[in-house]
Amino acid sequence: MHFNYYRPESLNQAFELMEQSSGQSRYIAGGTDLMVQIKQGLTRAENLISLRQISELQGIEEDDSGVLIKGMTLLRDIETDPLVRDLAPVLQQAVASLANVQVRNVATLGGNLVNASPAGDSIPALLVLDSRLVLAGPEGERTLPLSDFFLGPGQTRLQPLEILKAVKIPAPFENSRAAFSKIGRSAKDLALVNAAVLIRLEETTCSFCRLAAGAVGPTPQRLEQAEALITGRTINTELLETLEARVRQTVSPISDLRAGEAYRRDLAGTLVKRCIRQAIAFKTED
Amino acid sequence: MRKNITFTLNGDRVSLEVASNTMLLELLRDHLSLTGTKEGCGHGECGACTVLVDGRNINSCLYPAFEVEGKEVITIEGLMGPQNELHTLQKSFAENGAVQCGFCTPGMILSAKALLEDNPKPDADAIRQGLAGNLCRCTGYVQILDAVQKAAQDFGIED
Ligand code: FES
Ligand code: FES
Repeated sequence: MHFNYYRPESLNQAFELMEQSSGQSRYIAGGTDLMVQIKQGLTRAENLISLRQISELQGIEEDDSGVLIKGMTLLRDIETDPLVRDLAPVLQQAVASLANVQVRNVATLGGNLVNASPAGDSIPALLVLDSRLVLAGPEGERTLPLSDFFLGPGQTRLQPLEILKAVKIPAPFENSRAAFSKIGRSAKDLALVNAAVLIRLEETTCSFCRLAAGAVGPTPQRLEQAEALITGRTINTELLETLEARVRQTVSPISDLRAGEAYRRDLAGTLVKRCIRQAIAFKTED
Repeated sequence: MRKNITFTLNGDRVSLEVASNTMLLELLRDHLSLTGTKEGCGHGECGACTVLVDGRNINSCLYPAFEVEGKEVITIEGLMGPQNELHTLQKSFAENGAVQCGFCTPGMILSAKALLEDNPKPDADAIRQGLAGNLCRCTGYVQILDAVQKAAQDFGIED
């Protein structure tokens, strides 16, 4: 395990290092996944370019449309941030479910996204929040919806020099409630399936919703057919059961060491239903 | 690639040259002979290698030594007082039978310290959450949770 390790202090320095380095080079965020892969010999890199010293990538801010979380913000800081608690509690719920304090003290939101694991826990939550990503490269910045970012396991639309600069989360619209849920082999393990829901109710009718799930296909995904099924309808036990069956049919998980395909289908249906119950319960409590 | 790094270790300034692929765990154990920090899995799963960096508990087996530049690192050796008296948490672990083979203990104590500094009166659930990243393969978890609870109740936290 040999690598050079660089700590640039600005985005421009990072781009330059990436451009000029010879051999295999990787940007590295908290490294809770990449460093393990390197230690195990699953990934090789001659140069690691750490993004931890770049102040442009740090912080959580309120912006005109909601909240902006910079790419290198630690998951632990998101978990405890008052602004995120107000504007995107579902993200806190998702992030707090990930691994343990030691991991969340170094893992970053940008890392969780760029890693592009089908099971990344922050992703379904950010999908139902309709988040957008700001990507920075030597030529400037561009913004794209999170839902367009993933191409497959470990694959994203990032260009070779680009860095995920920030995640923009729109402020919640009135009367909307969101929830996240996951099942792992143990409480904080990698998700076998995870899901998130954002729903707006008028009386008992769902006037708007977004549903998303992870580890049920090559990328975390919105469940559009399921969304269409419940939008405009009265939420009751019967509808939730139909929804559960629809989710089960429309997802396309794989079998691996952790769980079989059929089990994951079942879980997906259950978790989406559970999230809706959770989100609605929040509402009636108020 | 090698570089000189400077940081604070258990209150003292340390400056030394390390290679770019050195992890903090290796730096502590092999270069600085602080063997209280243990290597269990080496992959960020077990927490035996837990130390505090700027007050946060992290797994030193995955933490590049270059990243501690300018930071404050506390290991289990740094918890004792000037006369080598045990820290409240260390005493509580000893008194409550929370140590069996002792391999997980330094990491457990440092995670507990980070937890109590954030939340001086944690309930049982908060303690479980705070120690979720520390595995004890002797599985003496009940005594460990007790020890942390008692450290928080009986003594308060000193530093
Ligand atoms: S040795 Fe670092 S987490 Fe196990
Ligand atoms: S006391 Fe032996 S591993 Fe915990």
